[in-house]
Amino acid sequence: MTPERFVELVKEEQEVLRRFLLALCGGDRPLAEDLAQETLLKAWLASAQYVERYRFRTWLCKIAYRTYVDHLRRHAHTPLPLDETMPLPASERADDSFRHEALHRALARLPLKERTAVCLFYLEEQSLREIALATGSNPIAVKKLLSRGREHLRKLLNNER
Amino acid sequence: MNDDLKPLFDSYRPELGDADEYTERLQRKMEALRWMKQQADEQRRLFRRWLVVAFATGAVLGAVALAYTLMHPLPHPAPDASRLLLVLQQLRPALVALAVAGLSALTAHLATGSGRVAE
Repeated sequence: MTPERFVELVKEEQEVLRRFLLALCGGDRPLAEDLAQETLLKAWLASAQYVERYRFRTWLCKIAYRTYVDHLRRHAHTPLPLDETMPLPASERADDSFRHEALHRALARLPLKERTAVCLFYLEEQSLREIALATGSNPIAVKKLLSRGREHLRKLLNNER
Repeated sequence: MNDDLKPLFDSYRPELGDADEYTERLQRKMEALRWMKQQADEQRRLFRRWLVVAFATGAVLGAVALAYTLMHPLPHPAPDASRLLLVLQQLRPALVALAVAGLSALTAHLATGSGRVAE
């Protein structure tokens, strides 16, 4: 893949990737931005292995998920600073900000696999097969994960209210 | 299916900052990465070249050393020769091999040293 083509694809998908990572990181913006750049650089280095029959987005999300898991392994003993993960730009409307904050907080408390499945399903509108591909699982397991994730998320959001 | 979570995620549109600036930053990093990769490739090429040089040097020195030992055999130890001389004679092929290995290792070490300087 030429650098120009790669940048072109990134321009189309970078928002999706950054939003996915922001949700996955429980609203930690600096971390999400760093991981997004790391993901894109890894993708660039591995672009020769990209198979066109998969969506570029699915492939990126797979790399992003692994990058996030690697980050968690590297910082296994550093708890997520929940109070510091929430700052949002002042330009966002207060109610949106509040909703996002509550969602971030709830997502941050979901187990990683459930969080990933929920984020990919709702934010990226990926199919079970695509989520399975991204997380190295199978569609049946993803279906169960999603179901559990939804339940957990509902409970957590209710507790937030 | 009535999914109450969908509207929540549909309205999830956090501000992410300027997309163009983000892509430009990525392009700068890609350029830096390309340069680093080029340097690493160059380094690898250099290392391979020196490896060949080290191997060739080892082979030549080994052949010379072997030829020399075959052409100049040690005088047969006198009956009263010390035990040490006897042991040395018995171990001669092993000592030659050790010397060759040492010379090869030295050449390889010097080669990697040069590679590091090029870094």
